[in-house]
Amino acid sequence: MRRELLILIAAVILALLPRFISTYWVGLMTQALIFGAFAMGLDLLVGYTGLLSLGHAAFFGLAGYGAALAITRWSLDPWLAAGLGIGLSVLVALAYAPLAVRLGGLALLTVTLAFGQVVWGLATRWTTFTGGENGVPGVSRPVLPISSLDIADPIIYYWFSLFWIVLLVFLISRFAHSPVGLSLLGVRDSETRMLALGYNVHRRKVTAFVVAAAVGAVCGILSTYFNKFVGPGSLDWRLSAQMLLSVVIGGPGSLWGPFVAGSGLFIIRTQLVGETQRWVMVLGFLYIITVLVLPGGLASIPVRIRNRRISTLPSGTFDSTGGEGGDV
Amino acid sequence: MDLRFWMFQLLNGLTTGALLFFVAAGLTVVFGLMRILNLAHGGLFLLGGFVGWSVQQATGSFTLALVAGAVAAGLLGLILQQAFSRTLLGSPFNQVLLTLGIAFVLNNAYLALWGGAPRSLQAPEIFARSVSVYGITYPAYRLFLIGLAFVSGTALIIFWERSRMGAIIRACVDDRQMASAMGIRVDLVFTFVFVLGAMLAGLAGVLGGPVLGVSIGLDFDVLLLAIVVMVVGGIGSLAGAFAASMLVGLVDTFGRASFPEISYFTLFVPVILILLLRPKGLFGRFTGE
Repeated sequence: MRRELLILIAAVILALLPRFISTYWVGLMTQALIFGAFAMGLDLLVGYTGLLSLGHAAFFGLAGYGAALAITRWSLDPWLAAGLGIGLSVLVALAYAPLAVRLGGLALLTVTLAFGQVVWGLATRWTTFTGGENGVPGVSRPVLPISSLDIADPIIYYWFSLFWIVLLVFLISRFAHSPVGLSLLGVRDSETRMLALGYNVHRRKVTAFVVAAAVGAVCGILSTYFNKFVGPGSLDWRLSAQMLLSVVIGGPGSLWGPFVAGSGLFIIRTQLVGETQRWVMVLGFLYIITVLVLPGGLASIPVRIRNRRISTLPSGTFDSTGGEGGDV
Repeated sequence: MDLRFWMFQLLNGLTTGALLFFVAAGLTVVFGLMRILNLAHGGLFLLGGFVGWSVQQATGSFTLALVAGAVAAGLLGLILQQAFSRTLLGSPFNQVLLTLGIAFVLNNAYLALWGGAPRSLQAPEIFARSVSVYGITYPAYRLFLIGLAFVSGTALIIFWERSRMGAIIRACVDDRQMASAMGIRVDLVFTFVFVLGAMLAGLAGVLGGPVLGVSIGLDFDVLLLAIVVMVVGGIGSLAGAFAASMLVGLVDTFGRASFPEISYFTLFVPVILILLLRPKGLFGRFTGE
């Protein structure tokens, strides 16, 4: 109950936010929340299950492209198109996860990267269908069932996204704390023991992979409708990298950490792009410093403070930051 | 699509493969040795290219550019390895974060130092002409590159298979702990290999200058291809890296020439298939787990 209450409080605060910030920031916050949820979903795979993916932008972009093409080419209703896009992503994930998760560690990292590049390559080179580098402009947003709410209004779209993101966060949190979710932690920490206990480890890994992909797909839809456009940028491996880094900076396995880091990194990035040409360098240094100073990510800060208080205990007792794991 | 077209593409593919080999050799051996996926390897490649360009602008000599590019990349490799060796050996999370962070910093530093305009190196005098091979006219410099890759590839593999140092490195790749127990200074071996790999990458940056040019973004393009080579060839295998470089170079070139719309498919789909069906790569003995 405490978790649900916290999500609710955060949702209410976020819902009231547009009263206090400018329209520009409402737009920024919309995107920040989308990337936060994306990172949180990826944490189920990376932090919970201990599988590294450098290609989940593929599912983000696939859903976006699926919906955008369905709307612009076949003039499908945006609601239906969203379902189609998400369905496409999930189907691809279902087809490819069972093969991919047989690999672990850095091999999985490379195969997800390669797969992401395939999708990206299709989007950029198959210009006649996907629009190539120019992407797909002119995507219309869904019409809300309440006619007094105009989705073209930035604040309404913010609330629209917030609704779906809160729902996502709620579902992710429920899933993570369900028996299946908890068994993922077991897979991460000791695959052999889980096998010996009779768990179908392979199926758990596939589940985590597909759930992370589905979350990414929903976020991809929200992002596409926000921009009314989808382009190869949504499939770029650098987006995958940014999401993976959000998980690591936030603290793998903590769920809230990656959400905060995913949102925060997006905002920092957009602010830096306006301020300086050196933002790539700043971002790079941010990653390096995180590794050197805060290897457990943001989520390890409360644990560290607690550790400092209980300094009489032998060091290391409380040192589990919930996700340094993953056997090398 | 006559025979000359295919001949041309074949040579282009081998040129790409030759350059790839120099980059991928270091990447794959370092990964095999220490389980480190160095995502900053493309940055070392590009440093070689930019330093080489500057040196050639100043002195007009391609040989000096080669030396300077390789030394600069080797030095940077040494600094990176010494500064971060402990973190690099940690969890894969931290490795990815750290090396990608370094890659971004390097990328932006080059932009600050050399600007965003694409540069190009001049091929050395003696190769600055075309020769005819089997009825087609082809730049001599590219033929030189292909030849160089075959010669140095053979030399490296002989060093790897036959020399005492090569045996030590292979021992470390196969079983680091046992090698260490036998009294081999694994840390020194690693530094040596890391720096050698960095120098090869820097060398490739200069060698590729007259063909690919030197530009921001090339670091990541080359890194992706080198990762593909590493995976296809089998992690930690030099012979695998050589065969895979040529294969990837050819597949990429023919793919681009024949099916430009889906050229990424032609390159990455075989990679995915190889990884899924034969996770150890064509020549590899272990996976990246």
